Amino acid sequence: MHTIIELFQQYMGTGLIMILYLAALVYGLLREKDPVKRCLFVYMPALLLVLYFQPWLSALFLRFAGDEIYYRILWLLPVTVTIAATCADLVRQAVGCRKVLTGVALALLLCISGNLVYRSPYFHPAENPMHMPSYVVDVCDAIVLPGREVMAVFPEEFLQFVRQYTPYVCMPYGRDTLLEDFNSFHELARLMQANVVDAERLAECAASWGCHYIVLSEEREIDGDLSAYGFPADMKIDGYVIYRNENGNFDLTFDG
Amino acid sequence: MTQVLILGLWELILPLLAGGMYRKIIPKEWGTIWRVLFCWVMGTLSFFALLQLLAVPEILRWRTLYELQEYWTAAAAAAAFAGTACILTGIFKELRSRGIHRGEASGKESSGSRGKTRKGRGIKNAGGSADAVAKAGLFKDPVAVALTILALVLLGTMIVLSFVLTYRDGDDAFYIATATTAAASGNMYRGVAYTGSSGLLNLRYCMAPFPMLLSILSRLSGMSVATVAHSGFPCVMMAGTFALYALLGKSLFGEDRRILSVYLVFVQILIFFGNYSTQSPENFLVARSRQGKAALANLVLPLLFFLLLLFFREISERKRDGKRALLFAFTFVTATLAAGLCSMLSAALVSLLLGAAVLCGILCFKTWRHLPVLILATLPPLFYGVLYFVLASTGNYM
Repeated sequence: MHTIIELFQQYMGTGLIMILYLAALVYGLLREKDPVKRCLFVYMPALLLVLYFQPWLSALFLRFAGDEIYYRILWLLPVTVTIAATCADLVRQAVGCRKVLTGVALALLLCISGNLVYRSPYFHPAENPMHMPSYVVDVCDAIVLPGREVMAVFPEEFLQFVRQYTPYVCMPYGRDTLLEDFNSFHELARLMQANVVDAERLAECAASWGCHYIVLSEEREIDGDLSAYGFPADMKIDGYVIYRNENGNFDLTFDG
Repeated sequence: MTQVLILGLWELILPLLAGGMYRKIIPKEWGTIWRVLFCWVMGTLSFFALLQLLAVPEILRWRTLYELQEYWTAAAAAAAFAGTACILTGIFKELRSRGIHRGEASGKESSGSRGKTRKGRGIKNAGGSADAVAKAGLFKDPVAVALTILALVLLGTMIVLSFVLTYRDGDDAFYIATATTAAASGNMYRGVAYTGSSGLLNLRYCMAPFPMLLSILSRLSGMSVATVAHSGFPCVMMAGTFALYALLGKSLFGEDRRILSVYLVFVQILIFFGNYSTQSPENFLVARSRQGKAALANLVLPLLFFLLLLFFREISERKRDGKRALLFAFTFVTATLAAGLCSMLSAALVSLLLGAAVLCGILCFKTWRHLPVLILATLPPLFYGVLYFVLASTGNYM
């Protein structure tokens, strides 16, 4: 029950939209005469809301789908339609110039209750139609070989994008690794994330994973010289240094 | 430019034609515009449904995306052809009935009642009585026109922002990478999308292969998967969601165009300010519009509400029409199959929604007549749910 309520609170955010929705439900219950609308926009959501808070349903979800997506039952509530329709109905009932005032007041209330989607810190200006950061595009274009796949180890900021951009660049670990507990991290991931890069261990580990390239930010502090361990600097692109495995297999035949 | 046109063909024109099969769901009195909107949304979802039907067995039999693409394009083209045939038949019937009306009118004219029949003929000549009344009503109310334009401007702004802004969502590292890998190698779900290494089939994702749609659209248009996913698909999602909210508004407010336009503005405000939590459907629509989950929350679920609204309206009016019940069943099944493509969780969500609808329908309308249609609609998600558990129990999958 505790998790259900926590998930509900997370889903509500500040809770204002959900308060408006519940108010709209009560409004519908009191004012709506059409039995079809009452059935679909009052009784059915109320039933679904009651079902959401049932521990047996959450236990069922927990068992088969995981609790982190249990909140999606709340998608079954027609929140947007109900609030918008109630607001429109309130505007309809207002008389004369009060219609405009009611409309503007309700629009402001909706703005205050929610939060502008584009304010999210995850929004960035798109650099190209693919919506990939240009450093990912440039580095991948520089290392990709026509006719075969290459293996490369990248800094964290690349992991999300490389395989979206090209399937010809493989990685020893991906974004999923970063979601795990740090202690169970891929060894290579731990080496790449260390404050100071241990050149010898990184080169050794990357070579054992069959990496053709190591990509590091120019600003990374490196203990030792990667070229001394078989990874000389090959190129510098967009603030990243690409180290090439001089013993790597760059033939145009797949080496697994 | 050619690539954009091809993508437009597959995202706009062909779905619109395929949607012709479902056009009769919309009452005739609503007029052509609403039918066109519904046909496009339904056509798009019928393409989703066809992909779900074809992709799951193809993936489980370790076939390639190239084969799937061939089957799907053939099936989608056949659906578009069938839809076009339905539309043409409808137009032919309409013209014939107008011809009969005209014949009646001229008969009446010759019998002396000229003034009345001319008025009636005028409306019919303007493109069917419902359309003419609707068009006349639309332009009579400048406030309604201005507010509708405001809602459309807000929609347009959202679409433009989907081009110029990018939302860096971590889940794309799996979904778009899966689509990119499939488009390049033909392998569907055979490796670990995050890294490119080989691995067991992840059954949960195989049962809802929405990324394959992006792969196929990418291969058909010649654009990269990332471009289709991040720049091409959001337009369809946002416009489709707007169309569905408009259809819901139309069914709620009927001919009151002014209130309908006020409602549409409120809907757009709620979407713009829908970041009350990162889990809201509005947030998924704006930020993650290329993911199946977003399509489920913003296309399939509102569509199911809209269909339930129309279906229950007919149930409450005690209409008995076997053909319409069949049409509703076909439309519901298409929608629930499309839900299957979007997310594995749809099996639970759609069953829950339709189960609640069955119960509320029985209690509110004191009838069991809606039961067969809604039970039929629940079968596809239940089938995929059961298939998932059966296959998962074999231990051959992740």
